[in-house]
Amino acid sequence: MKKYLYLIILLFLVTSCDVEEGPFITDYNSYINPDKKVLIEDFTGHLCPNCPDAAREMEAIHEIYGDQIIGMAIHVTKAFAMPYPLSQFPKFQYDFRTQWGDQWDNTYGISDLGLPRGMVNRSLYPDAHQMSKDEWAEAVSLELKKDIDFKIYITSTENNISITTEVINDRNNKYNIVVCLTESNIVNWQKDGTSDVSDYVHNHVLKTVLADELLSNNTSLFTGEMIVKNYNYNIEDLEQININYSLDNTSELGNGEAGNWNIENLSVIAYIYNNITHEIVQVEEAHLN
Amino acid sequence: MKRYFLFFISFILCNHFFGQNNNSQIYGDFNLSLQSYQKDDLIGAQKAEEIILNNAYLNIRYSRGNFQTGIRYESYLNALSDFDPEFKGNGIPFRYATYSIHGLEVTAGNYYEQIGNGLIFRSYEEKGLGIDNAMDGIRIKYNGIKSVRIKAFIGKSRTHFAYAEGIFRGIDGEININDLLSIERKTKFIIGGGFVSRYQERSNVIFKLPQNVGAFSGRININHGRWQYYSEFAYKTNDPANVLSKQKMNYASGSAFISNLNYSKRGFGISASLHRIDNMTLKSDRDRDGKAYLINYIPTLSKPHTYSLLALYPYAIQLDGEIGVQLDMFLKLKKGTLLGGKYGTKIALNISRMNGLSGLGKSFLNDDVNYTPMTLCFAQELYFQDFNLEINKKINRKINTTSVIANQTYNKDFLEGHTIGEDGVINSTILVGDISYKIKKGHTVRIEMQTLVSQQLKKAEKLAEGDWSMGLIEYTISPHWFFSVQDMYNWGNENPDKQLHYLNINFGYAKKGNRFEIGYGKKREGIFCVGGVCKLVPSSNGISFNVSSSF
Repeated sequence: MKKYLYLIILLFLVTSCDVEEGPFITDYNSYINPDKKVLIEDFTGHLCPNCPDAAREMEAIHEIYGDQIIGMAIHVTKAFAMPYPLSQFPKFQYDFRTQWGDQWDNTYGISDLGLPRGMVNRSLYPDAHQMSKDEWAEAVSLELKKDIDFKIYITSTENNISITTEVINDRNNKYNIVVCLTESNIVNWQKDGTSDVSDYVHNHVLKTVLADELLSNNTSLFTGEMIVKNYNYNIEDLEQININYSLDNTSELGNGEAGNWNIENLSVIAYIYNNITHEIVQVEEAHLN
Repeated sequence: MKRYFLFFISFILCNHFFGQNNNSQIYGDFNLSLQSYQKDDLIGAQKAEEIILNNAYLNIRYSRGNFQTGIRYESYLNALSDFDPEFKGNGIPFRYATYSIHGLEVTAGNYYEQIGNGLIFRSYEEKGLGIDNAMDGIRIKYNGIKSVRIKAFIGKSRTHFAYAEGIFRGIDGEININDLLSIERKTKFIIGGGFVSRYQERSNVIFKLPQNVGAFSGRININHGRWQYYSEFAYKTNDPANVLSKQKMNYASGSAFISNLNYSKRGFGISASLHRIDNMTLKSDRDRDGKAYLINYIPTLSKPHTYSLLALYPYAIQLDGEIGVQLDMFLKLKKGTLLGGKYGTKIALNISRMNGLSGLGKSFLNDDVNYTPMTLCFAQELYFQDFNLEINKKINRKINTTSVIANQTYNKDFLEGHTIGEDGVINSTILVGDISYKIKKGHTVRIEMQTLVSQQLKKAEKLAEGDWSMGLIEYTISPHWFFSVQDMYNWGNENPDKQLHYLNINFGYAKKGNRFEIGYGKKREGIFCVGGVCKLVPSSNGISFNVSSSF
């Protein structure tokens, strides 16, 4: 009799554990991957009257998800981003455009569909990547559910930026890394609806791209691998590139007013994209210095 | 805490002085370790703000008939630098009372316990590692049925000066088959099995989390004359960590298998072992990491070395996944033979090898991935390999020698949790010579010479530590005095600034139950392991003072 008693006790104990069965996720709608970051590339222009609405939408999304959302404002086109002639001084004198912004606009065909418009991690390329601001929030929530294969760590000194990529899962190397500088808190003119605002605050405006290159020279990337890349920089030289680009850009009415960066307000954005699908798979941002 | 202590003391005193029965006993032991820490930039040693750090404990036990009680007072003011800083302050973290009657033993308070070899549960204390996951709760043991032993317990596991969140319930039984069936046979069977379950409240709104995680194990021990076989299998139900990232949630179950075959006769012994561990980390709190929260233990298959250069790169068991084999052989060559000489020669050979499991290195299951590694595969990444041969020979009445030759491979990147390519994989060949010479009655001098020559099997970014030599002279005047000087010299360090000497001087005195030791020296930053459980020891430079005593 005792033997049976023990067996019953044992059976009782064995069944007293909770073996979970899939799906293991109980609330997929609320799920976000805390390690995933998303880049919103907001194609804009200081002459674009509806563009501040897109910037405000981006701020709202940032409010919800915090530092997992990284923004970049890219001023493009003659129609929306050219500087006014000197005769209109002081209105709209700055040239926010860059060679890289214009190049991306060409590649991804954004402004052709009208501004404001943007890309969320360049997802859904090549069919539906040019999203209006009202499509961003949903795209962001989908992106934030994705797994990550990389983590990015940024450190910088007054003349060097160091980007370390940690490989989370084994991958074939079909990835590029891009390193940019953006500037925030730029007080300058902006059309907002029907008014010309003189003290509009422009945030995370693309200033320069320091690199767009293969993530690694190896064909395979292994879990746990750390890929370290270093980039030397000199702000004056970088400013000069934009000034020259603006001056040379006579057909688009460039005026060379592309300097005067405030080094206090510069940030580094580094992102990794799949060079076949174009999708940005991870991004990170840190203050310069 | 004070309440417990006063209660305990008054209880003992009352019993001791007013008790009618005089078979009561008080006994215990005491240990004090003080160490000063000076800054030493060359070896990277940090100064302690407190100048002197202290670890001490006192065990007092009282027993009378079939009743026993005890406490341990511990003091960390503040803890030595190689201990978790969470050990801080004073307290009585261990107190218990136990009695036994008619085959039933009841313990209330703190106790140590394990099921089988510890694959699913082991609560134990290892002072050297700073591990003490004592249970606090109730335990009963019953051996009132012929050939059957049963124990059951419930409790929480200690972590530093607190208790982990998980509540453990366990039961374990063992049956001696031959006794039970009254069989008189040469082959003897003992079988056993245990079950443990951890309850921890669920708090994750996004993912399913099992509140009750169960693990069971079964074991068999077969004796047949000079042969002995032991095997244990353990299984753990899904036990994902409580994180918010889908790709880190692992719902796979865990398993472990250990197996050991021994043959021994006079002057000869051989032992062959195999084990496979897959996803078998079991913690007392699913949300916390660190050795203080481990609640199970799987013995490592590498030989525990005592010579310092043999133990320079020790193996840490990988509870998440490993497959290991070991062959251990012992042979004593008889006196009077050609190789045995006048006093006989002892030879010990040990070979062990540990690899990772295939693919992801462990079972993994979530909504996107379902992976199980191959059952037997030694082709995966090598974690550790050790080949060592030890010869012990007594030359004459005064001289005794031990020589060891060993070759070890140590995957430093993996085993120390560094990124791949930081420290690489080290292969080292080690030679040890140990001679003790008895000068006269009670006076013995012992000299150790060791050399380690290493090479990198995989490229490393960091400069390698390279080659080492070590020398030791120890003079003992038994039974009271001993004195030793030891120097470890890292002459082959690839960084010329780090080609340093690590000198240690120790002096000790022991009389009856008391032992005093004072030492000065420098310690290298390294890994220290006991039975495959390891801790990181930071480099240090200072004076140490140690008292141990028992009564």
